[in-house]
Amino acid sequence: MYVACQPLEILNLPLVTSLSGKAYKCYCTITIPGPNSVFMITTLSKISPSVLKAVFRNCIFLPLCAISIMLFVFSCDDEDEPEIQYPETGFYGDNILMKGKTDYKIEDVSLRAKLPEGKKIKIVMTVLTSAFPEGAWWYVGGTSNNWAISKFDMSARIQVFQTIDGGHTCDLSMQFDEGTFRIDYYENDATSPTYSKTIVVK
Amino acid sequence: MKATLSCLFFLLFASSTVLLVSSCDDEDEPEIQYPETGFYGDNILMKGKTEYTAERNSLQAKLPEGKQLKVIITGLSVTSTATYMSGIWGYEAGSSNNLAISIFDPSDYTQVIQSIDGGLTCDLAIRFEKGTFRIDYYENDAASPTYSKEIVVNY
Repeated sequence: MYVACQPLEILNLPLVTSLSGKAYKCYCTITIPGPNSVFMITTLSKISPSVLKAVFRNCIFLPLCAISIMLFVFSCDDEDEPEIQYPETGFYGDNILMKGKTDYKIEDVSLRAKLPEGKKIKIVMTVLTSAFPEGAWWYVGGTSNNWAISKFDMSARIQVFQTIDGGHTCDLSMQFDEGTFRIDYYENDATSPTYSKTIVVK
Repeated sequence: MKATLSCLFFLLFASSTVLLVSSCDDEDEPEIQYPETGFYGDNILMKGKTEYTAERNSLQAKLPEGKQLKVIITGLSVTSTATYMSGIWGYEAGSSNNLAISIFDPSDYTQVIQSIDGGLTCDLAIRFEKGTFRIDYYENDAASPTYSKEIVVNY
């Protein structure tokens, strides 16, 4: 990694000029190996070029600028925010939340999501064509980890599963009867589903 | 002029560093939070709240990292016969998160509920029969209650 800082051009900004005479545009670049690695910060200075040169000669501005930029870069949020993960399997079987997977067997399944720090999810499950009320789903008491589970709504045939803490894995042992069920995902306080799928259990 | 600017830069840098370091070192340790409501209803742990009007409630505490909580619930209006006991409470199996729950002690009508890990939210769907109950809080391994309240449940 290297850091370079140098005044490159003088700007003529009327607003600033009227107050202080001239403004100078100073580019500082910091380069870190890897993709998307060049950051450019622009600052305005009201200091004359001769003074700027003197300062640079004294090697003061360079370390100050470098440290400031490093602090800035490291304090910024990562643009590639980690997303909620839905692995293929959980502790108890196939993961009912895995996106894209729609066919499941009548056997133990997992309701699993891996939450990055600060993330949350609400899952709404709806019975569509199962032989309700005989057929729906149930979960095994004591297997719930990091899930808050609502009472089953008999009229709407839905149940809501909410994550409790970000930064942790949610899992639950479930079993479905034969039928068709819709799963709506509300990620990070979304008011409408961020993803939906209909699963068929045979 | 040059010397003045040099000094100015040094001072600016030094004060920025001091501000940065002091802002990171938070002297006010975060405390255990007891929100007004939990995932399952009114939070019976909310400090100051003594009247509850629903059978189903939450027992919720948000623990900062390194903090722990033990809660003892005591039934104050329990009536008991050889075969029946009223004025007690129960919790919904499967709703417990980050809590270790003791067996109800029928000799003094108490139950101990302890947090497991710091840095996590504790919650539990807990149902009360009508009656009066005392809740003693033992925060962070305190030997005596750090807070106590009596609640009345009537619905």
